[in-house]
Amino acid sequence: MHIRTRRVVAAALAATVAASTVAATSTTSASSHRAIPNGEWAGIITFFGDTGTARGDFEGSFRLQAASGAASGDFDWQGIVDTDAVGDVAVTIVGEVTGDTTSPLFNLTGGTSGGTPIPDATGSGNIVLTNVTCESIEGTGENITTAAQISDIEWFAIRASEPLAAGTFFDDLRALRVDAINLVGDLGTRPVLDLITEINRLGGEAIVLLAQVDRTPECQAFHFRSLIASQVQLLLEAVIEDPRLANAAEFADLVLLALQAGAWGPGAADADALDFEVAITEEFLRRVDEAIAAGDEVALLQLAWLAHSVGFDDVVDRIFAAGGGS
Amino acid sequence: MSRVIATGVVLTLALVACGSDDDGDTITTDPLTTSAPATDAPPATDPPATDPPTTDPPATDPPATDPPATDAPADAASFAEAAGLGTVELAAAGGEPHPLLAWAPVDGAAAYRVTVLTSDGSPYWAWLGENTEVRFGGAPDGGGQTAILFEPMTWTVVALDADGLPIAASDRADITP
Repeated sequence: MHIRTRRVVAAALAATVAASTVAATSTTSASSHRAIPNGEWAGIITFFGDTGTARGDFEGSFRLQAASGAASGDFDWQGIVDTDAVGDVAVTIVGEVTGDTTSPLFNLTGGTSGGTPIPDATGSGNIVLTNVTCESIEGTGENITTAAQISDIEWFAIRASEPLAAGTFFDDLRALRVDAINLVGDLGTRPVLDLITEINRLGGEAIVLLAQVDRTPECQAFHFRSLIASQVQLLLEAVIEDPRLANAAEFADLVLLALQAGAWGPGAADADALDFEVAITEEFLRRVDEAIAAGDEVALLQLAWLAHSVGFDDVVDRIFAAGGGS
Repeated sequence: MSRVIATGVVLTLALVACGSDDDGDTITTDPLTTSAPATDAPPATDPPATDPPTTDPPATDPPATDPPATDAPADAASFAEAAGLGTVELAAAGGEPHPLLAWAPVDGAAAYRVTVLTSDGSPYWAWLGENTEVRFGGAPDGGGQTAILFEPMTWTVVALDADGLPIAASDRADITP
């Protein structure tokens, strides 16, 4: 009976999380014009599943090939499910990738629970691409066929032809991105300066990781989008949405951290980075207007420094003409 | 010398569009259809940005045929002076895709912010840290998918105190691959 209970609970969670693939928890908006560029890709997915009576972290790898608008490939995930009934149960999930390159379908085809095959493992979910560059793709999910509570989802791939389930690189990448995501969640509850310090540290780790990955012929020389660029962008977007979250110095730091991460500027490589750049510029100018109107010398010096750093010399001139910065 | 923000945005749009995936089935941004932000920026005094490059640089062999930028944007020393800041002295750098950027320490500095602009003045890469040197792109040994000096650029360093306030700034210096 225990064995059966274990199988049923774990299998239910396995089917649920597999079907869910990824849930739309990201605040990054999807964009319909994104598609996976042609070629071979390999990546990781991590998520947390909870049925109410069983819960666990899942992680694994996938590989897919994109050609002429079609995606094909396979995936293989593992997790330890903590069940209320029998404790920990090891669960594996396998499946195939189909569909088109704008929204590939992850389709569950089988799995095991406690070493026993799951007889009715079915389900699927589409990937919503949240970032596409010539070197990497990121996504979340939609069209989930079962109602699961899925969270902490990470779907990320780079150009590669071999499975990437094992290896220090992806272990480090997974840990890095989880840390970055947690930092985004801390916005509003921790001093922004602390977050900036931490995200800068993580950015350094991301650079070291990305330095291990060779450029591919598909990319131009100037692309360098960081492995945590999306998280830096989320932080800055939150500040743009609610300027009270960060003062001028913190805003300047975030703008430059985002540049450092390749979340905007020529290194970004993602088409929607252009919208982000426009949003940054608008907020920057709004803050300049605000600081000039308020006669806020400290803020003006910070903004003048930012303007100088990013080459907006006309804004520097404007701030100095208004009596700021000195 | 003064550059308008909208111009910078358009230039960046052009660069990104130029870097679209060559499969033709992904990034499809058209720089001509992307509006510059509606801003309160001062009116443009410079001519519009020139056409974006039509030939993409190779991924592993950045072009080095362009002459060094000789008309770098506004002089940083004048910025430091106008802002009442000290000066950061930069060391020579360049000659490779990931050159070592170095500068003289500044008394009272808790951190340094490096910013790099492309030859057209668009912001390209930045770095924040306590050291007085960093390899272009941020990786200790360079390489990989990190930022690369793919054309003549300019760079600046701003020294920050413990509160994040600027206390010194460098000239904007040329750097050539």
